[in-house]
Amino acid sequence: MENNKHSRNIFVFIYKNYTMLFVLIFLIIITAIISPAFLNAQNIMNIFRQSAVMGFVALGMSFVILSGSFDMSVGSIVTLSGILAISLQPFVGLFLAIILTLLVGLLIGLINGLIIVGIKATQGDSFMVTFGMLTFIQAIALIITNGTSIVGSDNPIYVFIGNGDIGILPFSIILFAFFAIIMQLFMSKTLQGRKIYYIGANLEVARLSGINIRAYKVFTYMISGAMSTIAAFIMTARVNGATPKAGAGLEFDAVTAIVVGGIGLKGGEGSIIHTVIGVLIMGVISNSMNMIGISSQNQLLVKGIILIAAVSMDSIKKKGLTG
Amino acid sequence: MNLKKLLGFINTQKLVILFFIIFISSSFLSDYYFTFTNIVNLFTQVSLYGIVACGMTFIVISGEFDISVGSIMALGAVIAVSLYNSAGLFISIITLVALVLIIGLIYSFLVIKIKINSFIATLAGMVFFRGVAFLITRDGTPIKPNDGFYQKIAMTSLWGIPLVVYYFLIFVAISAFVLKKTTLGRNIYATGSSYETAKFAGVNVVFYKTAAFTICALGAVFAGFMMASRFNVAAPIAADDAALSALSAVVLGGTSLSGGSGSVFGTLIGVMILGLITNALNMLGVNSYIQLAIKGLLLILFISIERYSKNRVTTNT
Repeated sequence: MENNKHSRNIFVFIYKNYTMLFVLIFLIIITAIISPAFLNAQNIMNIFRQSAVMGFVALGMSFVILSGSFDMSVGSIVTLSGILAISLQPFVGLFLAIILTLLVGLLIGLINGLIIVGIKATQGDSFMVTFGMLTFIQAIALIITNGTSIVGSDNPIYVFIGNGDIGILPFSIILFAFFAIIMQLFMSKTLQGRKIYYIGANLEVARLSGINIRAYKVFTYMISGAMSTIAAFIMTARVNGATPKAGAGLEFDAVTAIVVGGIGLKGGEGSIIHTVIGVLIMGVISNSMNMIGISSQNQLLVKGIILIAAVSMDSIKKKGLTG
Repeated sequence: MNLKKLLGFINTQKLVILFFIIFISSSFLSDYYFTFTNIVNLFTQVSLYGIVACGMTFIVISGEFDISVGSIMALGAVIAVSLYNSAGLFISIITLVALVLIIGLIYSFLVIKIKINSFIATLAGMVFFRGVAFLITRDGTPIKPNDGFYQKIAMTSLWGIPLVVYYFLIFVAISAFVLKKTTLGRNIYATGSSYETAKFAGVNVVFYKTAAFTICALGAVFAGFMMASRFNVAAPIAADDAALSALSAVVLGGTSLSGGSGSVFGTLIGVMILGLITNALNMLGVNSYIQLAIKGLLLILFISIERYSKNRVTTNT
């Protein structure tokens, strides 16, 4: 009896906080009914592989959004990092190439963060500043490659990052799960993580309670940059090459996944678990659209509508419709 | 006293002065600079994004933002040409007017009724409208007008200047008039400067925000129509840097990102300064990727300066 009540509470808790988990399950069932090939183990691993790239971008961006800012530059950081990781390898070796690229990702995040705190950017300013950064980094990627694609590294270790399996699971999704768990623990269990929530929830209160807002904001942007870089490793290892526009649009996909998962865009609300659910939902949706044969351009329409629907639902739930 | 006056003049007119400094200093780049052809080229180059920037001025003053103008331009161009080919110019224009109204209403519904942040609403719109443009062209191939008349709409030369430049200047003049001299304009300022105050003062804030979104869409669709005419082709991938350029011009022109202040004249100067910079870079033979990098940096710089100077003012008072 006691136990039963307890488990019911857990169910209510999950329902209230992770509504989108049910949407994910529902979506999987529907897709599986429509096309049985969906549940094929090979296909599921494919979804995982595809999701890992966007998933890493979304993980990093979650930090920024939870702290009440935006980072639109992530897609171009993925592009640039991919190009650097591939083209540095012949010169400095795999290990150093990865380290250097990570440093570049962190550096871009640092610059983003310093500008944002330097001008005391509002949420809107942070959107536009990183939008400018998106263009700048994209242009750097075009300058380095002169607009052409480069063929990937054949280093087996690097290929493993994108295509390798451990047991039956793709290495990339294990890496993603590992980072997701660490970040979730960081956000929910550490004082530093809680402070990021406070900053996102109410900047003034956070300031008055003595939190070093500048340091934490810069930190979130650096995490976002680093995560985008890891996404770039997986992407370029998987497709064995880098193009000067490979990451374009990832910022949009990541925002969509985050909102779909249930993180509030105002900041301070939601968790990494939400991000993971959102990433999986978007992974299932794009996989099924590919299976039905919807072109990637027409998928834009669907994604645009999904983003609007998700934000609208969130907003209506909180504030209701007003006149 | 005179010095003080001079300093005050420099402070209020710093943009115009900056414009002339760049104008004169870049004239040393080439003997060809002060020629009529080059000046006409300069105006022709800035006219499309200039129209977009005028529309963008309204939405920024009203306290919102529209990042989807590039996609709307491409969509407008694609619809204009495909309907021009199949149903004629008149139907094409009527449909574009309807498109403007629909976009304005959609955005105002999402931002005011559902209360979505306008960045996110227009980010979704950016992807969505680009998708619609691709859908219309089926496989994304650019479409060309059937006959030569369509191109004449923008490129017919009057006194040696293409018509598109006149459209741009007329659009600027009407925008400036509407914003400064009409109730519509003044209430858009009021709505942007304080939504709640304007609402309590009896301003129909919903209407004026809708108007601002609609005017912004109007600028983008009109620019799209002209873009297809100027280049005699409509491509669904076109104008992907319109939002960046227009926003840069608006911010450089002194329109506040928090809404409530700014002017079309400022935007015009912003557009011209950016045009001069592009013109100079082209003359120096700087490659287009580097120009893109410079554009990105300039946007960051303008926003930073705008916000930084605003912060200083607020801490001083």
